[in-house]
Amino acid sequence: MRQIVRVPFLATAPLLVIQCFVWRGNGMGVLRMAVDTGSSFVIIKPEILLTLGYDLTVARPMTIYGIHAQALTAPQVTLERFGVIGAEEANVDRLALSLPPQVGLDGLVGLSSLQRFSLVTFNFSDNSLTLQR
Amino acid sequence: MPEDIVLIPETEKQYPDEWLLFEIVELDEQGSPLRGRLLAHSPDRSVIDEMLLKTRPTRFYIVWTGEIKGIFVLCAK
Repeated sequence: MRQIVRVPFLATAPLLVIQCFVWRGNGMGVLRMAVDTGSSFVIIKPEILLTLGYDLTVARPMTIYGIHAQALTAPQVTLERFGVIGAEEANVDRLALSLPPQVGLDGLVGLSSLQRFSLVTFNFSDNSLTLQR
Repeated sequence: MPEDIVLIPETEKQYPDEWLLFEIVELDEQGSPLRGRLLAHSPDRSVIDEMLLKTRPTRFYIVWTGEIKGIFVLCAK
């Protein structure tokens, strides 16, 4: 049976914002992140991961490029669990990188997460994202 | 309900244009933070990060109550 999860947008302008969860053991952080199909990876603010006990010193470095073509290196961390309620993933790689604080968000949900679903639907009539496995 | 435990959605409205850090006590039926302790609030995100790393709450929620800005594009090599 196909699993379908509907995720409400908390904001739709100027970014598509959803509520995400990151876990480690009994620890859990609830964050607001932007859905960004222009981003290859999911990125999460490093302080969130450090608080949950993830060790960024042993993380693999990954080179990424922004819109100014300036290369950045960010640690790639394997998370125990990450996702939205009803569509959680285990042992997934995420980048530890901060967005500018002026943005008001703690990360981006990029293609590396969205591609785990067979169908992703942006529904602007009811302001939701539908994820189907 | 202990005095220091607050309704999170109501508390968000009391601090416009600030970052808020809560220790989560209870989630609602949809899994969103419902009740918790307000550990820090500030327009300066670094204050929140300092408190987060200092207190290391087991279950926490961070939210910015102001306008969301920005456009991002990232790609991997």
